Amino acid sequence: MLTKKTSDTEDIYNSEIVKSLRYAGMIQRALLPSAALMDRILGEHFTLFMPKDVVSGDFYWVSRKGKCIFIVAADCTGHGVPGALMSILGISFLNEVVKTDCTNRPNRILNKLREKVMEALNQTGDLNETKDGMDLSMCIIDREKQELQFSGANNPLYLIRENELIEIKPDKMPVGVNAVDEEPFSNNIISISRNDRIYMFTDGFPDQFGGPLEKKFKYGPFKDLLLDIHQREMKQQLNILRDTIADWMGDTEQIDDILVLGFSIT
Amino acid sequence: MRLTQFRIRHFRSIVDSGWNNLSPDNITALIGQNESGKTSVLEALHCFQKGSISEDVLRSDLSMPVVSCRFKPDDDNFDFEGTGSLPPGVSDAIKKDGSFILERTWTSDQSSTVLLAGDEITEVFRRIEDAEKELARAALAGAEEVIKQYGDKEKESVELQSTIDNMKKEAEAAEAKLNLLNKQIKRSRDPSAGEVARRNAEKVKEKLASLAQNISDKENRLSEIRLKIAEEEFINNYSKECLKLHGNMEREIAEMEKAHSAMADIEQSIPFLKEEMEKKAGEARLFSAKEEYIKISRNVELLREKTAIRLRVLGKLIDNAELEAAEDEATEDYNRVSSMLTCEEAGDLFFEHIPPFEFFEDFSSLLPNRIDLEDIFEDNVRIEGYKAVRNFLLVAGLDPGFFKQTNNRILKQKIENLNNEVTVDFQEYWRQSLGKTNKIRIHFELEHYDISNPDKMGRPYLEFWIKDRHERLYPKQRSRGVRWFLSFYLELKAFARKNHTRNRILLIDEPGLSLHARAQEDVLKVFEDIKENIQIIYSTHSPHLIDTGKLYRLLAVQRSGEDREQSETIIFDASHLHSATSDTLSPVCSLLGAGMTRTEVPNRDRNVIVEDVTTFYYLSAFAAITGHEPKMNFIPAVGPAGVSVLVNLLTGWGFDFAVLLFDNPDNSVTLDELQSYLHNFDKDARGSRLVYATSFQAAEDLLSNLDFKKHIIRKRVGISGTNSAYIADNIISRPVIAASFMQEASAGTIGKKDIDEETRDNLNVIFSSLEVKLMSAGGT
Repeated sequence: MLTKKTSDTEDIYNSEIVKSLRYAGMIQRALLPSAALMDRILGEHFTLFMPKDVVSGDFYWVSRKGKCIFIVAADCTGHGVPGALMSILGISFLNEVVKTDCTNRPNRILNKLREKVMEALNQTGDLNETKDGMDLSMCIIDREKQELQFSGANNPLYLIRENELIEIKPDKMPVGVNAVDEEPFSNNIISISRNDRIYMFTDGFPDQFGGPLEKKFKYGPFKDLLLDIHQREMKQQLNILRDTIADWMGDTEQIDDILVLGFSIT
Repeated sequence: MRLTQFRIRHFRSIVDSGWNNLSPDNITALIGQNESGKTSVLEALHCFQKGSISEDVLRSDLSMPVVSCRFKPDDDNFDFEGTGSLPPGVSDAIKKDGSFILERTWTSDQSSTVLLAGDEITEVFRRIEDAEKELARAALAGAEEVIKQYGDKEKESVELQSTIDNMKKEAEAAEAKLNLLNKQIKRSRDPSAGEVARRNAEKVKEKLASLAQNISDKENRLSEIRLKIAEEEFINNYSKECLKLHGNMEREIAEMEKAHSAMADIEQSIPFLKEEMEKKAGEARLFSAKEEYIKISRNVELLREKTAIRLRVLGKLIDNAELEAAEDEATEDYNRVSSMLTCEEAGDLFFEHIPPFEFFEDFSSLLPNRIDLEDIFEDNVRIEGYKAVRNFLLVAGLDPGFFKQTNNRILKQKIENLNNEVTVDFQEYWRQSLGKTNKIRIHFELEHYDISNPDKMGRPYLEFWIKDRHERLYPKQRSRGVRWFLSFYLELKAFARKNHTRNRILLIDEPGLSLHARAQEDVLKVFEDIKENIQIIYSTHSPHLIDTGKLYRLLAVQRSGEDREQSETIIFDASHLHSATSDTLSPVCSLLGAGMTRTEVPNRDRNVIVEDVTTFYYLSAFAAITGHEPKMNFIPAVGPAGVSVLVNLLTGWGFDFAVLLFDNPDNSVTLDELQSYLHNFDKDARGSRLVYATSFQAAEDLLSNLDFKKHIIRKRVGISGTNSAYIADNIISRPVIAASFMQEASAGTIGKKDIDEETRDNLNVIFSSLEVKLMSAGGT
């Protein structure tokens, strides 16, 4: 009798948590850019966004300021609720920095973002403190100048032009406190041309376990896959990526949030 | 170890100076008018070291002086011998701050104590003291309660015994009455009378039964109380002993205070005794009084220890502990607490490790013309020039063994070499030429008395000369200025050499009063030379003893009100110089004017007026880092309000200049002022001399947050606002950190490669804008 009662209480409790999480998930989705906004800013694009849980530690963010388009794909520490809380911080800080700061340089935005995260989480480089933060890639596209500026915190950016994949490497440090003293993020400026395909992503896709030997998908096959499909329509690319990762996973559990953002320069 | 801050309370005209930062590069100058309180600051610091004060330092309200000094050990992991006995929390608080405060307080008998102070530390000591007091209070209250309850029980037992005795007597009487009634019943022939007697007998029986019950109850109660009395007899006696011990201790403390007071009275009366006999008698009385005081204080210490342990034991006995266990625990607890240093003991311990202070107020000890070696080796301090010669020998690195050299030729050669070395060293500081290239030389010779001094014939003596190209004169034949500087030089060099292994603090009241301006600048050069190991705090009226590039060294001292005799002394540090009066700042203002003749400050062209000394430091550092050419000549105003004064001045002299203002509310007032009555200050107008650094609130905001953290505050924290806001929020001294940044930049420790692209861009914008304005200014 007592066991039954406990079990009922747990059920009620769990269902309350699930309800709360679902609601939190709705709020988080509302904070992400809507499909219409993405269409308006990026034009031809796809977004593969597969949270591991109801709420996600990955997020994407776009904005337009003057002639420049700002795009971010980010992976916060952890996934689920902790990741989601950090993602909300990240989105708020991005909005604040990009709107209030005059700079159009992604490295300076990442520098500022890191200051905000360190300040908010009271990070001072102490060995015992948590190293919460974000890995992210940010690019700013100036279509008039036909120029792309990129800064990455542990996450790279792929540009495919004339069947060649160019990897723009990130700085090996997160947006948040690092094991060593913080250094400024670097800025990469690349000329872009019509029909260039740009891919920004988190590590969820290449790090997913699966396949016959239960191994990671890895970055090499991920690059090959993008090279194979980049000339297709964006919607088709999305479907192929989604099917490929679903096939790769099979019955294996998804280990992290997955985010791949692709768009073409028009 | 360095003295980094001081605070002086109730010392002459100083009511509370507040905490004042000393210059980070070890040279601090106190400027201010006569009677402003500069000397009081130096004397207060000297009193902090020596511990004694005279009555003339007391304020009219007779509040006793308190001088606090903050020291920063050179090594962050300092561990003075014995600091292991500090109460828990004190070491941590010191390590957290990286510094400690010592506070000397004086009492009305002018004796003083040094405490280890600071809010957090004082709180730790206070908690320990309160806990001890509470422990004693609770134990004494417990003792009184035990004694009271024991007394109540004794009283109750006596009363019970008496009641029982009375009841027994009553029972005996009733028994007798019953016997009588029984006899009456037996004897009675009258049935009615028999009946009455029977009824009475029944009543008596009932009473007897009742009495027997009562007696039994009372006896039981009495047994219980007696048992308790027996049980509590020990704790009752223990409590009485504790109270007696505590009473004895208090009486003995009162005796000790009386003895101390008697001793102080005798001590104070001795200087007024005129007759030798009276003095001797007074000294004998003082000796006896001291003996008595020492005897009583030892007794007090013993009583304190005994009482503290006994009260602890009593507290535990009251809580039903066994005596043996209570004694062990109490002793252990007492030993633990008594082994911890008190704030006075900790103060004494830390005091031993601070740098010694030396107060140079008189440099009258001049080199003599001649002195016997015998007087030097026998430490004959009363001989004229003894101190100066000792200093000279120390500076020259000579010890008595040197003069034992038997080979006269070698000795003469060595002396000749030393003369050259000392002279070269002295000439490094004494730049004042007698004529164009004719510098003075110090010369000493070892000679022996001849027949003209029969009493001393054959004995060695040293002879001194101050030579120039034309003359060889004895020291006394030279000017007062030369003699003063030479004496001063020897004192300082000897002081530095004596204490080369340990930092020292040198307090100097108005050095170089009688020196020529150039020689005063030489004094400053000596300061620079010795500042590595000696912190120098000096007062001055002279602009020649102030370095315009190092205004962070200044503390401005002035009276708070117009009534200078009565009002209190206040001190402004370098970041608040603009709050000081122009009279107080006159050496600084004179300096700007004095520099004109040497065209150092300002130049004829490429002058940039900036709002304050902090901005001056930053801009000078930025120019050094970026290697900006041609050089700009930055001139600091004394706060934003002083910008227009400098603008007027430079305009009047016909010098070219530009003005750099940062985008903050203070400067917007300055901007309005400039625009309202001066030409060429519309920030957007062509030919304007003004660079208004829009979006940068202060000079430090030209640095990226990362560079600011890396090179200025050296901390890994998140700074999401401006650097200047971070400084304001965290109450950091702007000029001090800016000065240190400028020193590093000037030394080349921080270069262009060490700043990031954001900082480089910002500096480029500012320097380019300034170039445009300077070109335009030069062209108009």
